[in-house]
Amino acid sequence: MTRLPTLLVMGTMLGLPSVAFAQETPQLEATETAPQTETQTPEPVDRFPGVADPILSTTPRTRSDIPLVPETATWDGFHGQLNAQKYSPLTQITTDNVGELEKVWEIHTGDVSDGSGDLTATVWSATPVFANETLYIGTPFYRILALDPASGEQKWSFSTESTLEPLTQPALKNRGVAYWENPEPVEGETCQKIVYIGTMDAQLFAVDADSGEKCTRFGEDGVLDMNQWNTINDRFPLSLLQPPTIVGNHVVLGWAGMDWEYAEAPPGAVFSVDPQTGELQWSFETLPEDIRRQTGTANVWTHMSVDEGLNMIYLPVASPSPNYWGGNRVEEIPYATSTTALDLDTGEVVWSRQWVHHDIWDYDINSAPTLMDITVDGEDIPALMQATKMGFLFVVNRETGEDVWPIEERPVPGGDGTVEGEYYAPTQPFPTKPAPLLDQSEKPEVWPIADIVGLGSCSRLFDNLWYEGIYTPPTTKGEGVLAYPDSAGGVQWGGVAFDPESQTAVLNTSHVVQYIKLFTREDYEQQAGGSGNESGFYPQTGAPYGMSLMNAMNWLGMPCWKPPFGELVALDMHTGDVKWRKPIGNSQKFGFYMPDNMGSPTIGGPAVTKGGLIFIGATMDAKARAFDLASGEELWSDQMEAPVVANPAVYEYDGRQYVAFVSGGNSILKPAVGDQVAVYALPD
Amino acid sequence: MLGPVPLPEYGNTIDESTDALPEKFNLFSNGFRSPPMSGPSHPGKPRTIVTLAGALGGFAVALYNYLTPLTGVTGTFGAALVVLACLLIAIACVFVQLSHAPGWRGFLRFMIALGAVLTGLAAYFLHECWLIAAMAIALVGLIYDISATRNNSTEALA
Repeated sequence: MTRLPTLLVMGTMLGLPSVAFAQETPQLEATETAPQTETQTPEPVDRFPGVADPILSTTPRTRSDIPLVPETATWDGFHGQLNAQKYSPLTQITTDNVGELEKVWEIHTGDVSDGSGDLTATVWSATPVFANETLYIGTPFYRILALDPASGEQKWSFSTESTLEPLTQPALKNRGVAYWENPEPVEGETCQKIVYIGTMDAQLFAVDADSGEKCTRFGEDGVLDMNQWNTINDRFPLSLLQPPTIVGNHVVLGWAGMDWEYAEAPPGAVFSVDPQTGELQWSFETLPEDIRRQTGTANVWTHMSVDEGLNMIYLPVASPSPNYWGGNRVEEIPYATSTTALDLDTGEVVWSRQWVHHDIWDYDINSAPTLMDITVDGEDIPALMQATKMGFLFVVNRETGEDVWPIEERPVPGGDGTVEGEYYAPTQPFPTKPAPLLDQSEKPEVWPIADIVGLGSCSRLFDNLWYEGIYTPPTTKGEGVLAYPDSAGGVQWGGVAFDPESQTAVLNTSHVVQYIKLFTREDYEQQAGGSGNESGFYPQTGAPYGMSLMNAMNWLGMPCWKPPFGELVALDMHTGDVKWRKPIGNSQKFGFYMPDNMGSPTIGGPAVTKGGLIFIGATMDAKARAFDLASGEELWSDQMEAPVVANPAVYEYDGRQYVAFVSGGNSILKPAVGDQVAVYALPD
Repeated sequence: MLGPVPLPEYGNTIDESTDALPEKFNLFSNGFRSPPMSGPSHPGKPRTIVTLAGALGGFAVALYNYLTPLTGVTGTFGAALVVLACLLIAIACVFVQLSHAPGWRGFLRFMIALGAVLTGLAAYFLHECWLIAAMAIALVGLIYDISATRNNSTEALA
């Protein structure tokens, strides 16, 4: 595929109803050759009226000799490596012997709550970090555990003593820790290797990786207060649930907020600080300055990925506030619900692609884009795949932001006239390849069994839900609008794994039908419903509408839509085609497992190895599994305490390959919590 | 096999062969004898022992799966339900053994069969293979119980 010259990116392309970013269009050529005068600089043309245009790279970047894929086995971050490939080159465990895997150690951290007592329930999505010959894990009680990688014996622990209150989230949450190592360590000084953990009350702790003592030079007495930057609409703390992304001398921090509660919320921003002092290096604001007070968020609450060779960091940016009504933010907000690439040293935007224009569905970009070098039609492309909640996979050139396969702007439904003050984007981006992970073009079919058990309630519900394909906007009418998928579907924060040898991308996806309804303020006040984790009633205080988001279930809790409910998918990135896709795991209710071909909704993500294996938990049945990367055949499984909602970690220690799973649970899947770390290896 | 089995009018609790069994196998030989009702009544023969063994084995398996961590169904409603079901099947076995009323016994056998089948089905969805095996044993035992009763009653009527 021929790539677009980077300087043409803001060139003219008429906003036709369905327009590909085809990179050899007559319009572009016309622009390229258009006569220019010295006195008349052409204004950038609005390529897609009514929506934010793509911002592509305007200057070529020089690649250093740092390879995208580490040359040695590395699992020192949330996604294994900075490229977010979750790939291990280890080959001790293979498709032939994985069936012999045995649990070599397990621990229970004790940091768990099912919500029945004084403490809120826990949600634990931490991927262990292997560094400094130690396995580091953060807990939802905001403690760091440093463990012997071979035995699980505790080397040290550190407690932040943070408040255990759900200040921003409905549960006590943690996604682990981050690790930094001084490339030029100063002999005799502590904190040349540092482990970081954040808290829900917006504090980042830096701890010496060898001793577990606080690094007192960092921030104030070893603690950086994120709330020092919480100066606009500071309705809640900037929660640090996701460990920072660490590269070179940068600790890059996003933060999590309180979804669906406020129309005006803290505006999204990412901060880079010095790893040893916490001093601010740069910050990046996602919202235009003039509208920051009237809206908010578009934050980065999940991990980021980094190409050290290009010196670029890639941000998955969430949606603005409030999530399901956008009358207070009708202006274009180019970085919202986007993948945005920044220069690592300056924090300046290199390119940005908005994946949902004027997002009124809470389609936060929720996982680090996976960086991958792929060969398409004989051309080597430095690419990036951005998985989404919508089930779309966007693949672009990570140097420039240009399409690898065409991404088309297609018309989408406008409103039904019931929502005052709303603006509806006329078009949305649709990738042509890879194909969507689920068919959102039609209203999903009702599952007859659930309908019969529900005495027709599923049919009645679906009949009362408006749906004209994905991006059908929220309404106050009937039962509301069907969302397929919405916040609990598609691909979640586990993201996409990638095998660079076979150029195979692997991901888990969920098929979940939810429905959204807006209520006028008066009607909302009369609602008696409560709120849960990713479902329930929420006020959107400050907006004229409150909202509800529900899962489409019958009285028994059976999904109203046809299975499968979740799948494991492998994609050939030479072509963008599906290699294989299979239902993964078993759905479970009251302990009863549904048949294999129904699969399970998934949260969590995969890891892949050079041994030809995919390791993944992610399912309701709380099993850790291994699959054959080539065929998708399940080769091994073991029962865990609760669903494994984090990516596994794969590491080598003393010549032995280990696979570590954290079983923490997430009430989005089922009300099960866990505090288990289980590590597997082949028998000695 | 699973439906109600027609019972002979008389003699279905027998029997002559009871006394031939060693005492240690005769679970109900002491303290459970009921006063004679109509027809021959010798409830001491452990016709239901296989069914009972299946039920108690199932109970043990189900209880283990309910209580033990990492069985996949630990503490779940479904796992508790099959514990209760196995217990009820076991109790029903005792009543069958003790019962002399044909109608009541027939009803109990029907309930045992239904319970065993539904518990086996539940076990399938709970991924409790050993419980399925236990329910299969219980059903085999029920067939034995019914056939033994029928044979004996036929002999009695001959």
